[in-house]
Amino acid sequence: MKEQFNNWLTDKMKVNGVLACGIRGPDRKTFTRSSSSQYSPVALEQACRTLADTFQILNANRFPAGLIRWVYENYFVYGSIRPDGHCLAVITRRNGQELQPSDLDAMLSEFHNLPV
Amino acid sequence: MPDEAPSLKKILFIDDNVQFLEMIDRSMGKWSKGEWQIFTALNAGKALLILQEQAIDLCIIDVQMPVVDGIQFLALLHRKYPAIQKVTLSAYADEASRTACINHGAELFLEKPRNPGDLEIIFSTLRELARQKPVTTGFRGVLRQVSLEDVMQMECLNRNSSVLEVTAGKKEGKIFIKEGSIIHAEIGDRNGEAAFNKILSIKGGEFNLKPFTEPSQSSIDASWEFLLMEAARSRDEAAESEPEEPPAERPQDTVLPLQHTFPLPAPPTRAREVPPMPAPEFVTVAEFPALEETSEGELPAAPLAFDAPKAPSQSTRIDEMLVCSAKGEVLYQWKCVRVNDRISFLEFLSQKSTQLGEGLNLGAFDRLEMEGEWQRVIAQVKTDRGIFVRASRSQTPQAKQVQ
Repeated sequence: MKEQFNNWLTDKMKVNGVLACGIRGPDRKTFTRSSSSQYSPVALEQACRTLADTFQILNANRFPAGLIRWVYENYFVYGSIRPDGHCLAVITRRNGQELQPSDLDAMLSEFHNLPV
Repeated sequence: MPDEAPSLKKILFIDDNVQFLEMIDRSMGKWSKGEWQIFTALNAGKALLILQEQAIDLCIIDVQMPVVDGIQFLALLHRKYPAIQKVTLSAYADEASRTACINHGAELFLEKPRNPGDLEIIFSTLRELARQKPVTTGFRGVLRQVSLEDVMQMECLNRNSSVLEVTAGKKEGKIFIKEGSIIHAEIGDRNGEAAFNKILSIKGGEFNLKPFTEPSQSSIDASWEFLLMEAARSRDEAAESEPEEPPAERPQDTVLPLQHTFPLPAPPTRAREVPPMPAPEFVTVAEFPALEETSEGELPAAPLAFDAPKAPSQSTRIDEMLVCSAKGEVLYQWKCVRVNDRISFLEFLSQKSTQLGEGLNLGAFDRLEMEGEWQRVIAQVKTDRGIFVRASRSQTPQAKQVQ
């Protein structure tokens, strides 16, 4: 599982607009990749945890979201969760060099079909 | 482990197990190498006394405590001390408890250590957390219901002895609790139940929990449950008989300090002195674009289109909207039946968006957008307000005819 997620995340870092990404499993194990020292592994791990917590709180509030997007001044943080509890976090730029919707769509589709 | 020596952190552990607290004090005190000053409390009441006297940075709470459980205490703590970082420890880490803890302000939900190795991992995790800057600004909906009754209830349940000093403007009152029983109350020239009811009817103000001292007399015999119930009934009756006060005539102390406050007026259920905000104008099509239809005329199941163009045959309907002040007072709400849940969510969002933004250097937070199968939510928190909008997508009659 570790190998698969790591390879997939490494591959996704080549997608235009992706600055960092990570996957957190239901066992709390987290895999992260980034293109810049701005995103330390610790900060990315915490971001993945925040996203997983958000999905859990949304569920508790009877709003089972499949996709969330945190909008910051210059960045987007996308989060998606699979039915088995694996959670994806993707950080992209917001203005100019953002991830194209079609690329995001493909990335999410792949994530949801990644074998464990 | 990093070598730098940050400033002294005050860490409070709350657990009903004396041996566990002693082990924590011994081992974590040693590992922290003087970086931590450790406090321990066997119950919620004792923890509250420590919190009043010490500027605690991090609280670690056992979820399974008798009388007042950890989640109940966490909720109270989060309302009274929102800036303190909180962690819960549980021997039985189930998802329901985890959700409840995160929802009530816990930064982390950790399993109780089963061996020395676990304990060291917990120490490292807590140390990282203690080094983080706590979120002290932003939306603080949790302040809306900081309650004197909550603290009193906790003191009585724990069979503690203490004195609750209450001040509001020039009014000063005291409630004496001895081994879990309310034995005396005084305010001005009133004593006994009359004084107790008067103290609880005060709008706004501050309270402080002080160590117990013997009162000049014992003026109350009734149980604390009866007293609280009667006080609530009197308050309800008074509210029903009184004409609605204009806001300008409210006591000045409704603007409260952050740390020691008690009940703000209940949030209004409708707009008061706020210009009407028609929902359809508030959320634009650009903010809430509809999804593209499939060739079969059905909406796709996996909605991945925050930025997709709006399909002409679909419409967005606003289902609920809430606008509140930074303190969680409702300024405007439309069809929002779970106001407290929404405010709690905005508070959660404020806390997490700040942590996320600071950790990754993302700049100022604007909003969170959430996409469900048929619904969308936008939640925005700013230093002066919180906004929650839920909308659903539906197909227009024209689109339905095509199917």
